Amino acid sequence: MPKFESNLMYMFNEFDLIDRYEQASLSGFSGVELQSPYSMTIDNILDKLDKFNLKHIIINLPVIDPDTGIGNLALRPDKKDLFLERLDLGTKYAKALGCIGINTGIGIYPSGFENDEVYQTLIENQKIASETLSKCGIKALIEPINTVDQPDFYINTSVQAVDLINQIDHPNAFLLYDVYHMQIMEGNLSRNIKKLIDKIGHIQIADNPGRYEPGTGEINYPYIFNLLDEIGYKGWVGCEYKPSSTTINSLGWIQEYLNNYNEE
Amino acid sequence: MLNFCANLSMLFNEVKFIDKFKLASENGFKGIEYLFPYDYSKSDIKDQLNDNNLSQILFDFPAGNFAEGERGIAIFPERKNEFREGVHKAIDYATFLNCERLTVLVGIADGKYTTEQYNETLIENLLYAADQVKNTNITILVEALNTIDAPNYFVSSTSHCKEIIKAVNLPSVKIQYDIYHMQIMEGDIIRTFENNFDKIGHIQIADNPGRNEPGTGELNYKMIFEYLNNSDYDGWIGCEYAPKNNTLESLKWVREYGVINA
Repeated sequence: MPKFESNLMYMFNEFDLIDRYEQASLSGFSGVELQSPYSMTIDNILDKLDKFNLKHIIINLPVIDPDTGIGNLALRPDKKDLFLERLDLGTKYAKALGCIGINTGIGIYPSGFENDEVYQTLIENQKIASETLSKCGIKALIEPINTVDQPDFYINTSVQAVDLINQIDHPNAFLLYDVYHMQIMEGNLSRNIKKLIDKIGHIQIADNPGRYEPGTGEINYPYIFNLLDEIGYKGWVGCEYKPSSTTINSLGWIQEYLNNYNEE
Repeated sequence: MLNFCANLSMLFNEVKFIDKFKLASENGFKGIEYLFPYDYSKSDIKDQLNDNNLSQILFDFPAGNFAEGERGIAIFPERKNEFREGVHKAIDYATFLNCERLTVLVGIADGKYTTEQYNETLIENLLYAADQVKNTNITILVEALNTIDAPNYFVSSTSHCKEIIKAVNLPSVKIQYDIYHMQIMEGDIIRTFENNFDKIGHIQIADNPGRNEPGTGELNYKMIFEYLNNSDYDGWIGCEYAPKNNTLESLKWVREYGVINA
């Protein structure tokens, strides 16, 4: 069975951020992920991980541009220095928390720049990120995001992401395959997961439409989870969905998987 | 209430074509569809429909040499006459069999013409076909196929289907939305249906990968059917899948939707 972990931005919103670690543990999770841990100190988080026996699987780089409020620093030809500063901060957190990977964050297309310049900036930033993170044993993750929720998101299909990874040309650059985003953008989930498995460093899930828990939409998740076992996926699966009611009520589908995992 | 019809080109392959009507009826279907009727006489098919209390929901215009791999001729400038002959033949059958839907397979792009030329030919052919059905209740459907099973098939996305329909701009020309093909090509099944509701004249289903019955793949058909049942769609859903083991076993899922064996 796949190892499931809980996304603390989407789940357990009934509680303050720092208290969500405990709630995830109480609900049977042994791992968590969180886009932005930076409002908490590393020590505070480590304390929670230790106390509740949790692994911190991934975090995101802090890529919000202070001038625009848009999370696309990795694409800005005029802000490469700031990207590097943020990479240092993200690496510091990820290393201390024992993360397996960092979602390097792509963002929406920055207006006022030529496409070539933007793409070259992204490749350059990603090369540095892959190299910096490889020294700490942390995967650099590249996530294509759907353009229904985020119009103009720059990398929005697995094809584009793989092209980018080929351009980065570093063994530490991996694909973050979010089943929800990919169902919106391209479908053909099983075939693509099989084809890309060697490049996939992390998987996230939610059903479509709605981005709610598995079972609420058009994706047959039990089939996908079986497929992940069949093809020997050893990584984690991040539950990055909006609970359709409360978080606790949204966890019915996962009980058989959590129980199996915890018995292993 | 959802209306499922049996696709006799893919279901009941345990028996000869002409004997499939009876099996479809015995298994609770009220409607049937298939690729082509043209190897049989109109009256032989009509007898099967009448004897088994079945409605003829849909079939395809003649689509070239299907057995040799052709998937329609509607995009080829040099085959306009052949297409027109096929239109007359199909309408003749459809009128006799009270069939209200005819599907156009557009063809596999052979590289001899530009995309514009294929599009123009297709649109011209559709306008011709639409003109021939203007005093009937027949709807003409354009179907996108996936290019894994049919490499280079010319129309392989809902958006291309929409462009064609828009250019023709007649209420009698609509989209046939095959969820199997579109899951391979684009995903986002429910939203795409919702956004194009008024342009969709027929739905077909199979799971992916494998094109077997619902429940065997990555689609949650239970939720898709729940969505369709709550929508205003009052058309038919064609079961165009390859039974994983045998047809009877493959029909378990449809029993929940009121298709009950006699």
